[in-house]
Amino acid sequence: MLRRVNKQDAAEWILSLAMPLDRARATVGDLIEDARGPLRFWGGLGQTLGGAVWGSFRAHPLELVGMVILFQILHTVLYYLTVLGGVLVGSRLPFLLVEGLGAKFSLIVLSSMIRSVMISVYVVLISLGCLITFTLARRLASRRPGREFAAAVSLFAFTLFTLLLVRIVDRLGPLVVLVITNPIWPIAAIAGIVTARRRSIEGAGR
Amino acid sequence: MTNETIGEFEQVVLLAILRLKDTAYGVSIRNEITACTEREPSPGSLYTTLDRLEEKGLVTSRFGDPTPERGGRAKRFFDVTEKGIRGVARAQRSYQKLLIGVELPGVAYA
Repeated sequence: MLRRVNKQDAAEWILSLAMPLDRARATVGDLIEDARGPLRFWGGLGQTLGGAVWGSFRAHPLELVGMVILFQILHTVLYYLTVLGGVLVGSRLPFLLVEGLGAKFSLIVLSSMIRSVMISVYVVLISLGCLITFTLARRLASRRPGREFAAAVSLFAFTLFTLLLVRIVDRLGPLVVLVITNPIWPIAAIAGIVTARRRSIEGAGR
Repeated sequence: MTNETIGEFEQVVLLAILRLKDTAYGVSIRNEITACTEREPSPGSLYTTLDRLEEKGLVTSRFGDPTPERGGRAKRFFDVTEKGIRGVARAQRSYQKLLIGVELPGVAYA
C-alpha cells in the first residue's frame, strides 16, 4: 500500500514538472482510474509528460529561448568573474583566456601557496556561481508553473551544444571564451528549475 | 479568431465532450472516443489537445471533488464554450458540403 502511494506521488511530482500541480493531480487520478497494470500507468505517464513538454515548446518557444539566453549571459559573466578571480591572484590573464578554459592551473608555473590560493578563489567563485544560478532558476521556474521540464530540457540541450561547440572549435582560442559555460552552472540551474515550488494554476490564469 | 482552424482530432475531442455533457473528464472522453471511432487516443495526445483547446478558448475546465478510487485526486471536467460549439459546427458544415455529391460506403448525409 505504501509503495502504491509512493508511486502515485512520484508520478504526480514528475508530471508537475510539465504542467501546473492541480492538472498534474487530476491527470494522475485519470491514470490511476484508467490504468490496467504498472506498464500502462507509467506508459501513460510518459506519453502525457512528452505531450506536455512538446506542448510547452510549441506554445512558448520564445520564452524558453529567452530563458536559455538569460542563463547563457549569466554564465558568461560568471565565467569571466571566475577567470578574473584566478587572474587577480596569478596575474596570467592572456594565458588563462587562451589555455585555461577550465583554469588549468597545472600548466602555470606558480608557487604552491599562490596556486592553492588561486584554486580556493576559483572554487569559491564556482560555488557562488552555482548558488546564484540555482536561486535564479528556482525563481524563474516558480513564476512559470508547468514549464520546468521544458526549461530544463532547453538548458540541458543548449549546454550540450555549447560543450560540443567548444570541442569542435577549440582551436579558435580566445573566441571560444565568448560561448563558454562552466558545465556545473547549467546543472545548478536545472536543479533549481526542477526543485522550484510546485504551484497550481487554478484561478491564476495562464 | 472566430474562423480559427480546428484540427480533426480537436473536433473529435470537442464532439466527445459535447456527447458526455457534464461528465466529460480525461477517462470518460478517452473511452467515448475509443467507443465511437475505434481508435484509442494516447493520453499524451489527449491531454495536450485538451490544453490546446482550453488555450484557444474552445473549452473550459473545472475541478470536481476528490474521490477515493482515484487516490484522493479530483477529476478535471471539461465543457465546450460557445466559441467551441460554433467552431465545431462550422467544421462539420464544411464536411457536409464536401460530402454532397460524393458516395461513400456506409456514410449517410443530408
